[in-house]
Amino acid sequence: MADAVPQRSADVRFDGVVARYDRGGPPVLDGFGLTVDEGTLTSLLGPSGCGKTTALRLLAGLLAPLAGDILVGGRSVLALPTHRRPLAVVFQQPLLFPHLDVTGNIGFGLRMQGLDRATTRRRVADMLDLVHLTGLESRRPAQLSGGQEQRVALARALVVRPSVLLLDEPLSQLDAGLQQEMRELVRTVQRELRLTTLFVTHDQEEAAALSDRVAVMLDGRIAQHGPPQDLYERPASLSVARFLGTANLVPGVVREGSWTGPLGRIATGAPDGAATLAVRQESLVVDLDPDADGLPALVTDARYRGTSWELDLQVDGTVLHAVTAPTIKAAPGDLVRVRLPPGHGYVLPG
Amino acid sequence: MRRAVGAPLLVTGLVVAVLTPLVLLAVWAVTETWRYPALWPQAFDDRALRVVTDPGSTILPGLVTSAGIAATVAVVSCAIGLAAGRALGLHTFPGRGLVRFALLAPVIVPGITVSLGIQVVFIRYHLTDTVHGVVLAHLIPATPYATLVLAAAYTRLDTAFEDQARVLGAGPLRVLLHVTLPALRPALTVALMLTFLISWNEYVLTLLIGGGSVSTLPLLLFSAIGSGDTSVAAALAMVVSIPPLLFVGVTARALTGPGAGRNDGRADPGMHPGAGATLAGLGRA
Amino acid sequence: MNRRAGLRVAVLLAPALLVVVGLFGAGLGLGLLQSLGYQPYLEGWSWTTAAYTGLIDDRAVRASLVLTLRTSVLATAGAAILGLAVAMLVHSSRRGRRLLTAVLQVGLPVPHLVGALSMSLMLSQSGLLSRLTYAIGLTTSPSDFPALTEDRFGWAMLAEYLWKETPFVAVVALTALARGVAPLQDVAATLGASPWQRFRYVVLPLVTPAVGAASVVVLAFTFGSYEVPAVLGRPYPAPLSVVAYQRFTDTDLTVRPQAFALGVVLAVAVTALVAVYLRLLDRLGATR
Repeated sequence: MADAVPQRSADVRFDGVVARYDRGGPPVLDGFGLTVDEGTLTSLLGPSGCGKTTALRLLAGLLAPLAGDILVGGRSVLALPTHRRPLAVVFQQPLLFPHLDVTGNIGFGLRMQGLDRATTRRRVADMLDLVHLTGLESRRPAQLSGGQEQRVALARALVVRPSVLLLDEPLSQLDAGLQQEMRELVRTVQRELRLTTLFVTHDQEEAAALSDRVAVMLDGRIAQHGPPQDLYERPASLSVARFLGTANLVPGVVREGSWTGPLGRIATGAPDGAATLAVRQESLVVDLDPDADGLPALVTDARYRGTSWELDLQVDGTVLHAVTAPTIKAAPGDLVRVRLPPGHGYVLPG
Repeated sequence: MRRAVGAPLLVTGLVVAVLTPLVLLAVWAVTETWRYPALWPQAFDDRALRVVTDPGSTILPGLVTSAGIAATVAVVSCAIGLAAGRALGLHTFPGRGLVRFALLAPVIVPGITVSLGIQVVFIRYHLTDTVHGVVLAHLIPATPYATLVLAAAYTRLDTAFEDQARVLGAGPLRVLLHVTLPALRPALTVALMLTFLISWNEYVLTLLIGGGSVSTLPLLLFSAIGSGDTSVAAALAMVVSIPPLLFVGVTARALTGPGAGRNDGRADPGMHPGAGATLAGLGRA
Repeated sequence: MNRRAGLRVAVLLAPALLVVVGLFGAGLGLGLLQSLGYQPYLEGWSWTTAAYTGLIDDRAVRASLVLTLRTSVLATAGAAILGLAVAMLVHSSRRGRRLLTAVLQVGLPVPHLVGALSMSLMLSQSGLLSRLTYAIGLTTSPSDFPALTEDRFGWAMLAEYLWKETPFVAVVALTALARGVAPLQDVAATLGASPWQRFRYVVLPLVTPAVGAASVVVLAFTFGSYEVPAVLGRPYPAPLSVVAYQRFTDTDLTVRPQAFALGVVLAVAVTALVAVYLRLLDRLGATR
């Protein structure tokens, strides 16, 4: 960037936050806690209505909590009105100012700060370059495509050099190809600027692709917070596993360090009692040779997905879902073998 | 985040300012004596109400005349507006901007100028002192509003429905009655009410073209005001205000509810054109 | 554009154009011609500018022009500013917004004559306001209260215009505000705009085109209004429309052409005024 001013990023912490949508009604967030480390991108992932947008709005100051604290860079921001908080937001809708052109929109925050024209113009030009929109300076929002609008919105948020960047499902309105492009842009920019970023989304793939860490939010609380891989391979609870769409949740029992169920015996540290084995579709290995290693299985359905085959397998009275390479041709009625390689299943109590 | 304390005071002041003049009229309408400096009438009486509703007085006929003229003006101007609005809303043609501009001229130029000028022709063709002459005159301010409101509605009309009906064998009249008009119904209702009100409230045109012979309520109100009988004037004023208040009660939702107009998340700095024309009409009326 | 479609458009537009050109245009044109001496159905007339020269020398007409201009400019500016303020007030109240908007619209469709009667009952020297000042001890008789009706300045007229047109501008502004100003204000806040900055740089630009358009209508109407000054004003000085009517109905028929001339002056003046006003709005960035 032209002006070599280092980014003053900060960490974010929610502490025991209680909030509701508006008067009356049960709290959407009840004792909500989350930490976003400085310079990292954390996705806040959850189904609609779980309160993730509420959390974002609380951080932005567009909503006030009933209890708890919110800190940026170690200092509470609750006493600060929105316009004094050191953050910027990109919303789901681009929300560009219709009466200003692209330059006016991007430069808006700088203008509010009272920055002089020359510097503003320079920083806006840099930003346009960063988001690949040079040449569109004088366009009006009405003349831009959806993707372009969202890029302007991103540029507008970044140009004010916030300590924290908040994104509220900014890509959900774009079509698939555009989403990919924008995701890469966000990731690149975030890494380059080492900007603390909180990215709210309901799309797991997006969360997994973008984030340093993912915080899964269910019913107003963080159910799990960690690197994307952890979520899929070691889900913290049954609800998280279900939310992530883990296809195979096999009920069984744990006794003395061993889980027993339709897929055999698996060593585990889980406590004794009823327990579910969570196995991803991708983890099961299917062999068409009926004499190979593994459990015998009957193919009951096979669906072609372009990049893979989805198979429904009947094993020992349970239905398992597996995914195979598109070249493997299994048809309903076939007898195959299926096995779970060690380390690819996770036992959850319940 | 939202304004706090001073607001309720201002809001009360606002409501008082808007409603007091009308409430005052209502009180005067049922007053027998209300001498200075009393803040409340000394005596009430429904005399004024009886005078106003007396079948023998000039007021009831005046009401019938007003209503008849206004209804005719509404229907005719909206029929004209349906045709012209279709041309403006659905077709592009050279001179479209000019036509729009020409339609706005009667809105800007005062009615008195036009009625003074045209009176001599109206006299020649025996249109003065007649109801139909007055109807013709009222068409001048009413037609532009009807056309603009309906043109805005037409721009949002999907002609696919009409095509569909024609394909299924419906003749042009049936298509009009069973497809087009129902689709335009909200805007048409607004246009009918608006043009009715424009005619209902009209004073100068009726005065100059109707001469002394056509007695509409505004004319009667004017002379009642001059007569010094405040109670009767107030009662008459209330009568004249009833259809307007009724109509606006119905359209108020449509004009200012959050559902009015587009809702695609883009903030639109201008007004919904149909609503704009409607409100402009009310400002003029 | 093909012939058939062209014919269709012509047929559709014909009735409206008949009204606009045939009735309105004819009225305007005939007014102009008659002001220059033309008499369509009589013999022995000749072109003359006597009506106009007569007006130029006429003190009453000059005073009338000043009064008309002053009243309509004040009414327009007042309605625009107050209307905007009222709209902001109503918009910022979360709970009563719908109800308030409905209340505002109560006065809108009521005829100006009714408004004029109300104003006279409120503002005359024995009116409600005067009685209130008596009640709190500010005045001791009707004549202590200033003359607001039938006065030189035209206070009661102005009051009627403001009472009627402020809600009109406010409702138009509210309609414009109803479309998504709040999210934009949120965005502006996150970008560091203080409440005042949000108003000045987001809300105001979004609402001024609507207020501008509405106030043009107010300007045109108040300039040519007849019934309000006829009830609340005095015979001299009277606005142009009233003077035109007076000359038209004058028993001295030689004065009649002046009525037509005044009609023309009205039309020209209001058009010029609207043009100037639109240019001004454009400069202020208040047009789309």
